[in-house]
Amino acid sequence: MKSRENREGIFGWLKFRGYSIEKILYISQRVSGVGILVFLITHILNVGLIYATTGILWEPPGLIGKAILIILGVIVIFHSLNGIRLTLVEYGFLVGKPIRAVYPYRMTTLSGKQRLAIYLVTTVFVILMYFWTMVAFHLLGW
Amino acid sequence: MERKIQFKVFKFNPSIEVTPTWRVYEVEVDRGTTVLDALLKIKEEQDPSLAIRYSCRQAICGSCGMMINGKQRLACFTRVLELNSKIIYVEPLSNYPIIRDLVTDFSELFSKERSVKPYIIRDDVEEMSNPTGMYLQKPDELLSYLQFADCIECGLCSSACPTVSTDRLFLSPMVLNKAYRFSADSRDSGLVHRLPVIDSEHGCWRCHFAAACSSVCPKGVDPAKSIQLLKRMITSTNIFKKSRKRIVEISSRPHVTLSFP
Repeated sequence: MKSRENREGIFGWLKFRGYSIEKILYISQRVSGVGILVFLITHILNVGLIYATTGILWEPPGLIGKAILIILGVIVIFHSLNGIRLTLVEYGFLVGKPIRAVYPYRMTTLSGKQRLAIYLVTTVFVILMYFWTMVAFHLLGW
Repeated sequence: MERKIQFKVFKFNPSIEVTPTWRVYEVEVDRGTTVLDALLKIKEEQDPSLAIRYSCRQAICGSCGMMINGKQRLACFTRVLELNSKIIYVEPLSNYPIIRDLVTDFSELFSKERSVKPYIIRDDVEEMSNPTGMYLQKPDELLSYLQFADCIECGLCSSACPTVSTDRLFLSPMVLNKAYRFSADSRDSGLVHRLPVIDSEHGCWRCHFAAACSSVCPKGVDPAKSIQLLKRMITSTNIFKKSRKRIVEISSRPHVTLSFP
């Protein structure tokens, strides 16, 4: 329900209908970043608690532990690849030079080198996923 | 050929109402009818109390920005049938306070704009106050900011920006675009005066490139580009201590002086 203030809040981050693919990647980057942070905090607390109570620092992960590791791998690979693209973009390397705004308008941030970087990131992600799937099968002992 | 289209329009007067309502209107439209035309038809024939802000009707003044089917658009620049929808939802621009119905308050945005000093700043104060000639620019120097000077300040970019939706103090794409437009101008040497605002906690570094601003810009200004170029300019100025080439000489051509009888 809208109030006078009319601010979208966190829902503004999650809206993607009608926007470009960059908005979807923005959401994915945020969600994956939060996911990695949550894993790190729970992992440190979990290992710390087990070590403090039983004195065991490491033992082979069970099925749930392996599943979490596999999902974490997917998230970390995506976050890192997309992060490299974003770092380059945010320092003005892939956004193109200023052009004359002539109708029909063309946005160089939504096309050209920047879009090419998205396709490159997607391709590398798919290739790495192929290898990661093999690692996952090995982990699960299939 | 005319078609009947249903409009669901947001109605809210915060000074007397607690909750907003949605009113449904039916309007006959043809292929040339814009959303603004339809809203004005509603205002004339069905509901005179509907509040809309508009002026030029040709995407130049930037007054009629609103959410049309959930996306930021200019009502005068959006044809109803192009939306390809039987029901058109019309709401005020998100992330701006509502004054009434579809009219939003831009005063906060304009005060942020003033904070980045959106005008040419030069060191030769005497020449600025009492000009003796003019500064000539090469075509490539003009091209370095011309795209960003086309901004009509419609505020669609700032409404679409996800950072604005959670950080009220964030300068917003429109303002950062304005800061870059002047800082990239070869006649200007005011970046150092703008830095305390744009290189701050709520400045350009809060932009994380969702590019929503560029995907809603109706004038091809591409604010996402100007913000990234602004970051690059700040980095090269602050870290690599690079200074930009500025026009220091004044053309001998005198100003045209107008004399009135």
